[in-house]
Amino acid sequence: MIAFLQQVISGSAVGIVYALVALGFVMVHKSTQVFNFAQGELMMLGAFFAFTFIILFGLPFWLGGVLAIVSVALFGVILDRVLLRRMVGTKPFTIFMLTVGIGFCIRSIVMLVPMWGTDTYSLPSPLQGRVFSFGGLIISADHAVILLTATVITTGLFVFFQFTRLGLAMRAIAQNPLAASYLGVRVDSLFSIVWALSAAAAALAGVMLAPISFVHADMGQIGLKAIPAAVLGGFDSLPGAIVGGLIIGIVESLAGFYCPEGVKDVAAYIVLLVVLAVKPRGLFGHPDAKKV
Amino acid sequence: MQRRSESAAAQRGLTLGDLLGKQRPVALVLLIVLAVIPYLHSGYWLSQLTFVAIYAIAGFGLQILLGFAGQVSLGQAAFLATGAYVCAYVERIGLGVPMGFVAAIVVSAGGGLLVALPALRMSGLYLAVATMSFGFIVEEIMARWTALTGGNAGIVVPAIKLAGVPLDQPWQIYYLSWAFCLLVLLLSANLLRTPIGRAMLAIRDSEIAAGSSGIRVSRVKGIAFGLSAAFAGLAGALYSHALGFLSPDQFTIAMSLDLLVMILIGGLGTLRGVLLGSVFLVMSPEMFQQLIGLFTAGNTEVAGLRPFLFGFSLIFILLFQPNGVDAMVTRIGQWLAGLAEAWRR
Amino acid sequence: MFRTPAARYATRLALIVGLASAGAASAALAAENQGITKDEILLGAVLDLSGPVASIGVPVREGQDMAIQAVNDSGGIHGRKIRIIYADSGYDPKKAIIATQKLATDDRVFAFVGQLGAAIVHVTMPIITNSGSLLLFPNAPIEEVYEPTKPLAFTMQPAYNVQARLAAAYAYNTLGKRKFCAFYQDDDSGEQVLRGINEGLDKVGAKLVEKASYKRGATDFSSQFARLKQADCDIVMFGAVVREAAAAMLERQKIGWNVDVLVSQPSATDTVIRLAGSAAEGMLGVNQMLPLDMIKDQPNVAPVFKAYADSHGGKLPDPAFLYGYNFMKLFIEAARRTGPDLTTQNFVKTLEQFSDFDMNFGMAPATFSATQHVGSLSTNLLKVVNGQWTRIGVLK
Repeated sequence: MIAFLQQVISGSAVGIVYALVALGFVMVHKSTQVFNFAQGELMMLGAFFAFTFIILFGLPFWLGGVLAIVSVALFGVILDRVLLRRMVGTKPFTIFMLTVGIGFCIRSIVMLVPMWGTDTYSLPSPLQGRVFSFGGLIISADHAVILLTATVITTGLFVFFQFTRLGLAMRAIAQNPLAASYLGVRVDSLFSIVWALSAAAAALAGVMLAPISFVHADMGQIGLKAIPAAVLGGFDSLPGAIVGGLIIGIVESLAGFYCPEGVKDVAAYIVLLVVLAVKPRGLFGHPDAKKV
Repeated sequence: MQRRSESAAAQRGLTLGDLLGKQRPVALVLLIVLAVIPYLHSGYWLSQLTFVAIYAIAGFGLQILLGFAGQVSLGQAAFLATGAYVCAYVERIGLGVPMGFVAAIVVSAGGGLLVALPALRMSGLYLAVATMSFGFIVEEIMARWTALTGGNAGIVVPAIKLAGVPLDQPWQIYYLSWAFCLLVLLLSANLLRTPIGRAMLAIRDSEIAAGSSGIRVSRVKGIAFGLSAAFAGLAGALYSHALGFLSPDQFTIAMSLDLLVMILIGGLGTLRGVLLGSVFLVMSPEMFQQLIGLFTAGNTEVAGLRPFLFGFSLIFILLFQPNGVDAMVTRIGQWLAGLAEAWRR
Repeated sequence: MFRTPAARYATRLALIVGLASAGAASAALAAENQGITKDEILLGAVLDLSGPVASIGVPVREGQDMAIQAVNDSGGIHGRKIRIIYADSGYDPKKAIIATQKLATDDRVFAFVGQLGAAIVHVTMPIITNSGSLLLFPNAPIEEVYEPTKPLAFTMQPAYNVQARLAAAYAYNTLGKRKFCAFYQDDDSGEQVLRGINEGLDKVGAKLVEKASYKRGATDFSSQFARLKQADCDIVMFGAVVREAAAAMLERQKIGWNVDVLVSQPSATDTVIRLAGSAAEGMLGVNQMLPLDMIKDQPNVAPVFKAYADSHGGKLPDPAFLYGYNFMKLFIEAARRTGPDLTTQNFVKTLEQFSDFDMNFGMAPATFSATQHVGSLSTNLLKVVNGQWTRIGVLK
């Protein structure tokens, strides 16, 4: 029983990282209908920026982390204004492929930067190595912080989208940008804010993941695992992304413990297909209104 | 004049001549060049061109599914893998090469139809993610099913023997691949002329309108999935012989993405674009490398060049030339024709 | 077709670039390269420069380049300078095959020196030897390079499974371990280590109690280690590579499990200590080469380290660097001994006469013969003590 619970806890720790990346996916898709395949690369960029500020420039961890998040958020705004803005009105698939191209470019540029390159770097957090244990169950301090932060962030975002004017405006542009703009909503600026928030969420995930998985150009692969998490929760639901991430993480952990070799690596995708078979729009998704 | 030949063509099905129209001279030249290449140069460039043909075959399949029928698939690599491993297996147990190819096509097509069943209910984002998941699962199955695939260590593919005659020379595989490629091109072009092909286009443009016009959407989608998987399976079978070695880590999402990139850069919805895209996919990294080599003396192998080239080209095409290289080629052709016209006067 | 002036400009620029590169490519086609010319020896190497083992590939290349630079600067070998062409495999067999084909049949290199990666060498060796190029001293501890002996293939690295066999025997006989577990990468190289562990255990009549694998790129090993811990192993043998090995050590530390760990050659590097920090303390490993601190003051070694430090901000080289350097030096020595009439056959004959050639850097001396194309079958046994690798023995 202890073993089972331990796997659930370890799984939640992993899952919450998926969830943070998934949050970014969902935020962007909710507001702009874009599936940003480069989300994992944005996370990796956040980790590299944090590495640069903290290790190369010697700043304290929290300061470097915040700077990294802000930098990547700015990068997200630049992406929106320079590239994505030109694709407004084109088919969602085309924009998706644009983000695929952006992801390729981010990854390759990271590899070409002399200070970064293809090497692996360690980025220890202030809590490195500390663990909390209670009743035989263990959770590392790093993971505990991630869980806490993610909960705070999600609650904040949920409140933001539901109860503030800005959040209301964002939901409006998600439903119908044209009508929203007629009603005085500054659609352009809001798109940029969404991208900034989403990139920031990715960067936050990167900063929190770096002490555990090290900083390297292949980190973006996590993005692939976060996609099932986002879809599981229904691609338009923020709490759904968190739930989706947790489910995927826990299932993976349990599969790794109880199932034969290799199941753990595809558990996320099997779960996804099963859920989609039953609920084609994810657990919390809303059926699309079809425009004829 | 054009209308007469068009209706005649419509009745007998498209031949390559009809397909090309004004491009006939250029295409003839290219065909001659293709036919003659093995005599000029062997080895690396020959194998590159072989892969151009192979990826083009898979590309035609994806074009039918995505460009014609509008169904997004991020898992085509799974069908290439299926075709490759099935072909290798059937040959290994001694059933011969033609059976290997037939099995590759049939099993992959079956896989495509299987995927189509749940895929009918999904579209867009969810379909993309579902096919992506399918791809990962198949990749894992390939790694675990050691009896069929040799697992992670991979398997060496036995040389082709047709009626006891070994057919494993690179130039033989080259001709075989291009022969199949042209065949598939013809089939794809003719598909567009059939009611099913037109139904696919209708579904792509508006599924609901298509359904209300009496098109059996499920059936057409199923055919699209099945055909694209069949072509991918054929490409896989050829691939296994061109490369000579199969391992699960060759058929990852990276390959599925490569195929998508190829279709988009070439030109979504066009057949010529598939060939152009395939040339780009297979040959541009090396050409780019050589170009860099002109500016930096010595070793030019810089990590990250290939993803950069693809990413940048993709972004460029999508922003500035959304109809792909195909449209650019058309425009160049028109410009050249205009020049010729002016010169004739 | 052009939506904006920017689009028109950008497209025309792209067309020019595209045509130029096509022209460059055909120019390259036109140039004829042979392996040996009057003043040049052409070598090739397919390395991972951007993928999961780039942390090995990049230093290997730097090491090879340094050795080549040194010999070229002093006039070359019998008047011939060495030129080497690298290709990036990204640890992808497909790319490696195509790159190798190009180097072998198109560029027609004299030899492939330092080819990197077990899986890569496994698939590219036939291409190399069939084309008449030599496969020399690959960075790939796999048995088939030397077993059975192939006329054109020579190696300095005993296979993963051979090393694992020795390590397992050591753990059983000397350390007295009885409950063996394996933690390995779910790919060809990891499975080879697993095979070796099983072979070694078979010989002493023992069996694996539990094993757990992970997929390359995984970041979470909690379930694997939970399973291993539950099996109550007294030693875990790793078939892992740098990044994942370090992360696994962190996991082991996190769950407070003090089990002994014995890692295979790819993970017995300084990078693992750098990444895992204090969690690496006490880790055992096998590696053909000695830890750097132990050898850095030796007379043959110090100048190399100094040259490296001068261009790398005072740091010590990565062991992979030394493999690249050392294997290239071996090639250079063999080429030198062959004399001015450098052909493939003469080179092979010369190499087969090497006996107890001092390899430096703590590597066992190299001995080749017509029937033995592996330089040596022994390996060093290492342990992390006070944050540094130290030699505690030699396994034969």
